[in-house]
Amino acid sequence: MEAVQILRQRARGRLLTNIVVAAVIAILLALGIGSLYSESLGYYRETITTFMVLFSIVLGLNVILGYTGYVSFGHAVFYGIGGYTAMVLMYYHGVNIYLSMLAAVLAAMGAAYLIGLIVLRLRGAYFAIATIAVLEAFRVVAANINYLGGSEGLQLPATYYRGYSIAGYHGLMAVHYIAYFLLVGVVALGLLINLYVSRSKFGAGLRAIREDEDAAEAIGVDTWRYKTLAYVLSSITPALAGAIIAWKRMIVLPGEFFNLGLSIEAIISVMLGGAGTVLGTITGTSIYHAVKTAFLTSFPSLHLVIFGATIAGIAELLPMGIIGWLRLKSTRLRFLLE
Amino acid sequence: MVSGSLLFGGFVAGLVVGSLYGLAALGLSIIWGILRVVNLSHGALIAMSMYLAYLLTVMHGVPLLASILLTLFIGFVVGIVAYYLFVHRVLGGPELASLLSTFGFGLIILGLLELKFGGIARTLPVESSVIEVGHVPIMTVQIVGAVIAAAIAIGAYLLIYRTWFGRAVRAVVMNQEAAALMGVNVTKILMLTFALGVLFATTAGTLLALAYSFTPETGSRYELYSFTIVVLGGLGNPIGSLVGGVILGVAEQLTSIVASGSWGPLVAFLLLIVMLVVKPTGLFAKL
Repeated sequence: MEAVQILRQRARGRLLTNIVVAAVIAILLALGIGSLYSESLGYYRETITTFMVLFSIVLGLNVILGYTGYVSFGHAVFYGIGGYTAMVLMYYHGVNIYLSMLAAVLAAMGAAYLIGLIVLRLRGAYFAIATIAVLEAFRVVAANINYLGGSEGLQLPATYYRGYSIAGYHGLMAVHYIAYFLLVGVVALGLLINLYVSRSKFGAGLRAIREDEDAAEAIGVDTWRYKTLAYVLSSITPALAGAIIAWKRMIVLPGEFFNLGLSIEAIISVMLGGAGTVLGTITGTSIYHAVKTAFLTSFPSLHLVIFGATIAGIAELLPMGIIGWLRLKSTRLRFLLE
Repeated sequence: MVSGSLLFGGFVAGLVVGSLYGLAALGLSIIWGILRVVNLSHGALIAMSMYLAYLLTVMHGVPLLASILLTLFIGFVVGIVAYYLFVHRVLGGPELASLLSTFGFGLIILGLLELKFGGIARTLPVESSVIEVGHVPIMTVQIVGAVIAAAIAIGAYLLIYRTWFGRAVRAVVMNQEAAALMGVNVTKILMLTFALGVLFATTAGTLLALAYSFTPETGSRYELYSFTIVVLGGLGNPIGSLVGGVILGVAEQLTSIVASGSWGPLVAFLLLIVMLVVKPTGLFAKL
């Protein structure tokens, strides 16, 4: 293709992605507003909430895994840090959710920086295992320290929720709706971060690191700075989601918030859609969530087995994901699908 | 403060338990060092072997020794089949593929275990006497297991460095193409090595099951320990695995004497992180 054609195709691609992203956010908002006034949409509100939680983690993971190529198996640790930070503030000091979310994200970003100081020195499988070890360490600490609730966790009393209200709902009932809209905001933030990474020089540097880190360093990419920034960015949306869910569910438990399974689901979603693409995160998470919900209801006991077979299948047959596969089909699609 | 004899007892307990941990890690070490694949199904395989032994002994009344031998045999066969289903295709490619492929395999095993046996803790019907070293109780089955583990580790070392098969394996590690040109059936060697790794994990599982109760999650605890031990001892190094296991075992036992047992995984984590940062190739890198 000629240079002009490539540029044109890429511009079209970005327009397409912008439209898709805007549409996704609009649909999520519409569903939320609809559920405020219609009883029957209540079920959808819950399942979409779960979807958005996974999506938040996926959007964070995509930055460090998809664009930078660092396989963070323990990414749920930021979800956990967000949840616990928020819960500690709410439980011991009655802080409201909004400030708690702010604290949660700051804590996670700080943690990402510090953890990164150690683990970002490692590569490939060693990095992956180190992140698992970090996740496990946090879980053990949370389960063994009484201030954090130990293995029973921390639970908020219903009285805490008295101040909240939205569109005629009050207290605990309002919480589910407010949480939904907060999550839409988090998802929007995550999509914006991914779009930024995809289109900036910073993102190009990350991709260079993914393809060949030593070569990237050789041509002048400050790999250490870029990796650290990517890791910190990747902690934002998972932490926010963690804080919101801690608030909504009224409880934090070490096993649920520092949960390897959550990390794995995020990795599958990223891989299924196509690592390092924005459209891929949307595609992968949607398909994975839809299939998982369907399987859980139809095959409740077999779901781990099917889960495992699916992961192995994707890894062996379609490692580049759906969007990734489409991009390989023609040069046109390569620049069109972001 | 804690008495000296208690610490000594903890140390000895650590030696015993650590040898078992070392055997558990041996399978992971072999597969990682030789196939360059991080076998994330390692923990699930250990759990599988425990339940197989249980299935045969308790649910079908097979005598204990025969159950163990049968479990080992089945483990080896599972390793061969798993190689073709989950490992062969992802060998040359990106690391993430082999991580996820083996992880998926592990999930399938865990799913089947949950399905068939549920989550309650099981034990094997083993009567064991207990001896006390410095007021720390140690079961004789643990000591027997530790001796067997050490023997197997030494046997693995001899296998890799003193036999024709071992030479072929080392050749494949050094240079797959050259080994093929020299007449080595690379696929067969890789497959047998993987099956051997699974066999070691199976053996460790059965020995551990003699001493401790287990649930499907027990496997993942041993998996983190195994990672730590492999990094401590060096990839593909059987003696390193044994020594690394002992180091971890002693650290764990002393921790449970000084603090509390549930901090064990944290100890493993700290050791792992320290090793990864200071000397990721392990204390005795060889292969």
